[in-house]
Amino acid sequence: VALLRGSDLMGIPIVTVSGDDIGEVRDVLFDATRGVLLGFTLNKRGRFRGRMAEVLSYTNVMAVGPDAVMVGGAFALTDAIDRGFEGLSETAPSNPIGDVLSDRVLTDSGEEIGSVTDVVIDTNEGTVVGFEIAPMEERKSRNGRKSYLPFHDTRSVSRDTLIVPAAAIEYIASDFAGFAEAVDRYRADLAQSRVGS
Amino acid sequence: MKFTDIVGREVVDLETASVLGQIDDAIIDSTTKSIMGFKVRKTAGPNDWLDWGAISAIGADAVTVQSALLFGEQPVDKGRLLLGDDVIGGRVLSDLGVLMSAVSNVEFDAASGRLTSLTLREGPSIAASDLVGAGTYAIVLKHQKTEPIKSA
Repeated sequence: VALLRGSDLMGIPIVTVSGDDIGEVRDVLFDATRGVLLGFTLNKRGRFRGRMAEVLSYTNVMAVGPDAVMVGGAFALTDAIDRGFEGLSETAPSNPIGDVLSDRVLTDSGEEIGSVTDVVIDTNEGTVVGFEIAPMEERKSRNGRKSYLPFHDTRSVSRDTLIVPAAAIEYIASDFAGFAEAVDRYRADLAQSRVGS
Repeated sequence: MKFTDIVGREVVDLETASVLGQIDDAIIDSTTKSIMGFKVRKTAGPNDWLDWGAISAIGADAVTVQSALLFGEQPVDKGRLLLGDDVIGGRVLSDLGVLMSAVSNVEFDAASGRLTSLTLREGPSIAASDLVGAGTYAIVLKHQKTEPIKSA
């Protein structure tokens, strides 16, 4: 797995395979209920920065790397208005990462875990695999260090709250490096319990 | 043949046996993966571009041309200068969006002008077939199995 934080992607260039930069990532759009990447809103490159009218749908992305988002050509950018405002798809609800930041994270058993500080993306699969969380005050024996919570699709999102299964708490990783392993473990255990039930 | 080995090499007119100038730079076409021609540091005349087709031979000591009349104008908006457009020394990305070490040299076949490989400052030599594109922002290479090295 190749995990990146959403904030790592902000500002990285959109580069064609012929080597030209045609924009840069302004925000990452994802479906917060299914955990899939939908695409990117864009800023112009160079001195005349500012929002571009076009968006980049994830279906037109060839690769998302730590240093660039690779596309086939300028044709990969599409008009945001044609696709509905930032929706990129008529059926899937779309959340810019900017919208979920500082949302509180609540378990389905009613315990507040903390607040979202970033979204963790698997760039190979184009999925959101979890959230970076600033733990609640009473858990802050870690000098403000962040925790990482695996994402699972049996949860819901409102304007300011994410509901996660209480079971997910056991898979919270205390460092980014160990998070990929926690995600794998969480998914494997979920698959197991589904077979069992 | 390494590109850097022919930089500064004399360009000699076979008709008059006179030295017309020295090789200054080359333009590569990343689509055909070949040398399009050479920019020549010249002593006389307005044009300083030699199309690959104008070259008679690239020898160990001189690059020969049939006539000084073969000098023309450098193609616009086509290809990239190895030195002038920073193909050598500039930014390199893999097609997975990962920064790689800069290109330090380009090797080509002296008979056909076909690129054979690109040498990276750090890391392995890359087959020219792995050259995906050369644009205004970066050189794009196919992802290599070996660990990419970030350039400063």
